[in-house]
Amino acid sequence: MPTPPLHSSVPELERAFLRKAWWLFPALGALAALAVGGPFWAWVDGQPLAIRWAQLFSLRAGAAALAGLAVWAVWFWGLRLRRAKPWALLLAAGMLVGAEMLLRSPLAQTPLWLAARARLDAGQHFMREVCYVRLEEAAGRADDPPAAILVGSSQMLHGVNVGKLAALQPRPVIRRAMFGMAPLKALAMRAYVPFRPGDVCAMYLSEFDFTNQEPFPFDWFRPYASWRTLPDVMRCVPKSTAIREWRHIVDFALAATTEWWRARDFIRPLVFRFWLGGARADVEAAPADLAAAAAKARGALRFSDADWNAFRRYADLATAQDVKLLVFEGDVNPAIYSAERTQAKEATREKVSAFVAAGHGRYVSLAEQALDLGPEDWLDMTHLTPSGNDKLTRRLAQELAQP
Amino acid sequence: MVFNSLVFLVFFVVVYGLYRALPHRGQNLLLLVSSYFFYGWWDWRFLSLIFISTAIDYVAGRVIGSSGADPRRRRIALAVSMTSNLTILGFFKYFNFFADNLAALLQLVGLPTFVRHLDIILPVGISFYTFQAMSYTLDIYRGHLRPARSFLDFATFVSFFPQLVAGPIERASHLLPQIENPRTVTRAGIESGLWLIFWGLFKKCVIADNLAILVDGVFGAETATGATSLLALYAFAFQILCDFSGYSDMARGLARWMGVELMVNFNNPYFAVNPKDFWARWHISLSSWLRDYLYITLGGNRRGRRRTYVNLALTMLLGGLWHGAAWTFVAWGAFHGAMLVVYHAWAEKHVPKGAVDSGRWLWLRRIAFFHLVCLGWLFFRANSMGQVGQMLTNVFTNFAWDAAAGNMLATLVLLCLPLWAVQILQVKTGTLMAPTQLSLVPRAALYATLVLLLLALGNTGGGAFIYFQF
Repeated sequence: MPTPPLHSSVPELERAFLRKAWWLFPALGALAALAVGGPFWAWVDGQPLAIRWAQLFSLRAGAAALAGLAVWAVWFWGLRLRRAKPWALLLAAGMLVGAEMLLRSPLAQTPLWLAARARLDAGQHFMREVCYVRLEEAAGRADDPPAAILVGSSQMLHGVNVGKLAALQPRPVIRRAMFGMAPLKALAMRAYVPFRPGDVCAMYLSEFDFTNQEPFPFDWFRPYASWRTLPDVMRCVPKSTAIREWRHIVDFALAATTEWWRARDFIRPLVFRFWLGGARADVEAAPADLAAAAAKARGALRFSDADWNAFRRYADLATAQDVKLLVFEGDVNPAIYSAERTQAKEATREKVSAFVAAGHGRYVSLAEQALDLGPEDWLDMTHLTPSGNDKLTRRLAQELAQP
Repeated sequence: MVFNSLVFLVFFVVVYGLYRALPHRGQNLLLLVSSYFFYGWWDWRFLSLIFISTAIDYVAGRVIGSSGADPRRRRIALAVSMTSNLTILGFFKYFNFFADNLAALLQLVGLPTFVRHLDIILPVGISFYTFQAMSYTLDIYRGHLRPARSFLDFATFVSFFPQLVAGPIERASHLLPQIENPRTVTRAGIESGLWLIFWGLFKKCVIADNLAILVDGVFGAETATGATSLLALYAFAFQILCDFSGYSDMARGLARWMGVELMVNFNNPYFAVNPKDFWARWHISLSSWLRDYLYITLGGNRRGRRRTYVNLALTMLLGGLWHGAAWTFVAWGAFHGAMLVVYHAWAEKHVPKGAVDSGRWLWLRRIAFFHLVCLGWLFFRANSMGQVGQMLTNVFTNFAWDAAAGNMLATLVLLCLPLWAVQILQVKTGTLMAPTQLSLVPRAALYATLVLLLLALGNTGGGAFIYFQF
């Protein structure tokens, strides 16, 4: 009896596989349909899987089985094609475009951001907020009246109670405030802020937002990158920074191009916490070492031209969309006041108020706010307690209620 | 500068553009300059080491090759070459290891310490280019090679940037003629090179760098259960394979783009069924170097059974030490040496010459031997010999399977699935380039999947390769 050859050629192996395992394709199709029907959502939410096998015989499972068979047929047919032609590269490119469209579609967006959010650690506040914004973006803005859109850093996020604000004035409220969102970051995120004519964009700005900012926070930009905002961001960043940060600009551009790169920081937890849920802790803003934070905040202040340029660009773009700015002057805990900070605060007030007053909206200084914030209203060096939050929310509602 | 970085991409685009435009001599000069630039990117001071090693070996090679009738001069030239290479390697890599151990020994017997620890930086890839340069003079001495005519060609051979810092350790008889003669870049070379670069990048950035997070988490922890220790060991086995073979694949792919063929360095080593088979598949360029220049020089299998076993054990022990100056590496080498000795003793009686590994127990034997290899990796990766003992104890006494272990297993399987699929295809077809021979649908699906996984999961930090430290 002759000895069978030790190895097969690749086409032989493929043919043998397709002949022997043809049933695998419809079976996998049906199983995929079953998973999407029920267990998939349980997995997305980090819950124990519950499989209903009867759904294997549903119409959807039948259609998916047929799709599986179609893949088998195309594979078989592809064995006949001549190798010299670049069909494989073309088909791969087509598959990549298809995968990009799929990931951008609500069909994939909703489970992706839900699954990522369910797997975050307790301290990953920024990522949790990104999931929230991206989920809202996937759902789309409702056909509602002109809204109040809150834009700004965690000072705004913790300083304003969104539910109370919505109840105290007639406009619906949309939250787009994020941890660390200084003006350059706000500009980078603009594609995810659903401005409509008649909206009011409420901001909370002070020297805190215009000093000591990162020159090019690409990891912050990445999940919000878009070709609609990239040129604007690049116009605001000094040339020396652009040259120094060229690698991160490439990162930003790649993120603006493909969702697979844009969402990569959120796809990774799916692989690393495949079966594990997340830690659903409440968001806490208080840093552990208040004294150290205070000492750091009293340090030298470096004005960020990029953030100033970004604020002006942001305001211009909002005005062009018939969106009015409502800029509240921001504050910090008086415990970190210093001569330098006071000087920077006044200079910022002067610049921002003059710019806003020149046709962009309304500027409300600290004196005009008259919030009378005491030590009990400050949670730490920069964030408000519930009592401070209440004061700011009511004052903001007062301004928004005005025509 | 590492292959998996944007800086390297820019570097290669510029170098390659110039390379294609230049004639042969110009290409070699460009390769030399760009290779020195590539190496100097880490630390320009160490360029002097490569240059000194190159100059000594070039002169030694000329002396050995031109004075065939004078054995004494030839021996002196060879001795100068070997001594200088081993002195450089020994000082930078092993001085502190021996100094620290000598100091500990002296302290143990109550004698005063006269050696002290020096702050020495280990030059990247020193073991690779030193061994490559040594093979040149050894081959000329043995009459297997004629000396290089041009210093430029020889210096380019020593410093050829695709394989300079992590191999494959090329033989002069293989690479030098390719440097000396005009090269042709073919479309097939570009296509297969592209696959190798891409596949290597995938193995490094997606599999190895992500597995490293699991591995470092367990090996760096104060306590770990037996289950997570075992999974971390499996993860390390695939991390080191993908890290090192990924570099080798990229090196081969980049070289092909320049019309240079580098040797295959890995041939699915975890499909080996015994230690001899493993060393014919793992780091082939090093194992064949050790065989040709150490094992055979020691006498190989020509001096009786016992001496053969001693030679095998000694070769593997030094092979372990080549990887790093630590007792864990020595233990790893000793472990493989012991496996080889036991296997040779057993195979002499039970395995007929020329027998091919096949049959129904093949997969079981592969899996069993893979576990022995993993045991060896425990020595290799552990931070100390104490950790080796602790992790082994945990596996047998405190296994404790929990949700974290289940999650770790899921991550390991998810990351390694593409690797296993490609490896099974390679083994079934007996060709490492099998993925490029697939038909339309699976090939396109494979390319698209790898691109998507690179985008979504690839590490972008330009993480260094494990073998750079050797």
